[in-house]
Amino acid sequence: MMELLSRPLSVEEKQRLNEYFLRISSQYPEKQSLAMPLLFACQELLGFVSKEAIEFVAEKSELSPAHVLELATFYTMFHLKPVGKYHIQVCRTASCFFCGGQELIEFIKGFVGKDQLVPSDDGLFSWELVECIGSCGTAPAVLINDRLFECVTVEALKNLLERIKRERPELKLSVFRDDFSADFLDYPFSRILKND
Amino acid sequence: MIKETRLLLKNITYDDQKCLEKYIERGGFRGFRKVLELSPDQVIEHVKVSGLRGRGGAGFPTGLKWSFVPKNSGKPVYVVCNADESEPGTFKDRILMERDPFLLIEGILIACYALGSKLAFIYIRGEYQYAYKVLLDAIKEANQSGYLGDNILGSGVSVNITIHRGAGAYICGEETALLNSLEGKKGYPRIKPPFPAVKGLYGCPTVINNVETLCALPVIFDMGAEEYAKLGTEKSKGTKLFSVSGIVCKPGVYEVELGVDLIGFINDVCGGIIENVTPKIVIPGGSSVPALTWSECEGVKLDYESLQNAGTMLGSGGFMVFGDNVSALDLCLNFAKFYAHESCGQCTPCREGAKWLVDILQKLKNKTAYPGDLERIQAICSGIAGHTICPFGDALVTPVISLLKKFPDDFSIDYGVTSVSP
Ligand SMILES: Cc1cc2nc3c(=O)[nH]c(=O)nc-3n(C[C@H](O)[C@H](O)[C@H](O)COP(=O)(O)O)c2cc1C
Ligand code: FES
Repeated sequence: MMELLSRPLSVEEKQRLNEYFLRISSQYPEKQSLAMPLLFACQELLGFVSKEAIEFVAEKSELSPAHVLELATFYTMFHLKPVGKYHIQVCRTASCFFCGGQELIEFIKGFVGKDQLVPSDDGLFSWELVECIGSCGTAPAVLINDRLFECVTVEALKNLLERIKRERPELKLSVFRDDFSADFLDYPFSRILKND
Repeated sequence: MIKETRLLLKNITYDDQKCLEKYIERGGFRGFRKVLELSPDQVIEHVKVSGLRGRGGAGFPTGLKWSFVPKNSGKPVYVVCNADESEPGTFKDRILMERDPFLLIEGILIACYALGSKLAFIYIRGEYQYAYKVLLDAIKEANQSGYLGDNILGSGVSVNITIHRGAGAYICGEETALLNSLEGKKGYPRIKPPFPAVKGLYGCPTVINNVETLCALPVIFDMGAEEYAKLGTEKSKGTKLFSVSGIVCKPGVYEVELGVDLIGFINDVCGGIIENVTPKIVIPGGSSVPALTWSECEGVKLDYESLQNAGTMLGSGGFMVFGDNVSALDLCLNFAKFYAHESCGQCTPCREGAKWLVDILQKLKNKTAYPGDLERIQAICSGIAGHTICPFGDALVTPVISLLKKFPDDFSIDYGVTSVSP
């Protein structure tokens, strides 16, 4: 079996996870369906899915730890090692790639200076190539944590990353709060549907 | 002059459409109220009359699919909304969910009423966090205002909706992989039969429909199934959303009657082709449908049958246009990498073949291919197509075969390689 990183859950973290578990249990007829939402919740708290997180999820969803590990490896959004505080996902699929995406990829590679999914030395950034993220009409597109950025140019991305370094916004939707941290919502979303 | 026909997108430009009050003010839940006056069987009959076909890719008649659900099986029936939208070139479902979430909720209510389902799921791809958040808020508001939950609007009908996030696997858009994922398993497609309508989620009868399909329901019941059926063509009725990307002046999501002219659609609706670029490749339905050369597009209409006659498919409506600055080989390699990355790994021909295709295409690009490699591509494709559990295998070879056939010059290996392949 692959080597899993250890990171025990604190009493307080367990309590929050248990509350979340109770809240979503009633939404599913069977416990097994809770495995993925719980993995997301653990990853939010810990920054990645640890050995202890897998055991916790297995117990709660009445699955074996091996089954939960299988989920954590099959689904690419689960990380078994920490990524940067800001995980930058650049779309590499056709509509983006041939519309400036290629240049963005080169830029991000240099900016983070590490292989995919490996955090920068200051732990702030990591990057990953992803497949079409449903913004082909506003290509090229980049996701930073949970926040989508559209029609991105190298110049705009450079400024954006500088701003992120300075202001350290969350850019995450929390399962515990069900809310986007409001910061950065001023960056334009879908310019797609504005009438002529 | 081709114009948009905005039915599903009617209110899409209003920023406050996400408020229940505004949704209702603009005609929201009129369709559902009309549905409440019909029996469930009559609702299914109306959907058949409307001619609505699945908008997720396969185009299967929705009313017919619903009628496969056994009556009185003694088991609960589930309605599952497929919001996994990951087909390259497709982004219409995201726009619908982000801008008009109650339209989807109303559509789900109508489906649940027709099928006697009390619990519906929305399986949304994990990357769509903003749409997820909008839907969560909308469901909360609908619950508080009596549009979801127990005894909706005093009708005795009860429906709850659970949103489930995917976690980055394209294959979970395939309906049986989606069901496995919802059950807390890897997204491996299931062998059919049994079909989900009989044995789906948790072994119970299940109907899976795409976001756009469900969003069409409130529109159909509000305007009347016969009226809706007057739109479009004989066999492709109603309107369809296209997600347009690439070298057009105004990329975006557009809704047109099925059967409009392809070139006219580009010129009149999408603002035409951008200056100084010559159009070369049109892919009308997402990466899994065959590509058309620009000259093949002449006279083609955008509906299920015409596109099929033209040798391609309507698919998800992911409409991509590429210019002569893009080599068909590069595009082919890009798509091949997508499929190699997204193959779930269950079937050997798909898992291995997809990687082999990437290897050979990459060699072609690096000009290190061997004579015979083009034939080898063909052979690998024949080894994959039709030999996998789900249609992913067919989807993966489609762009390769069509691009190779239609743009042979871009795949030329005539660069003086003399060595013989091992
Ligand atoms: C590989 C693969 C990926 C698919 N991805 C999606 C998808 O992202 N969204 C979707 O609605 N349907 C997708 N489908 C089609 C579904 O299997 C299913 O036919 C559809 O959700 C049924 O809904 P409809 O009848 O309303 O179109 C995919 C099919 C395959 C084979
Ligand atoms: S191709 Fe990049 S978002 Fe679709």
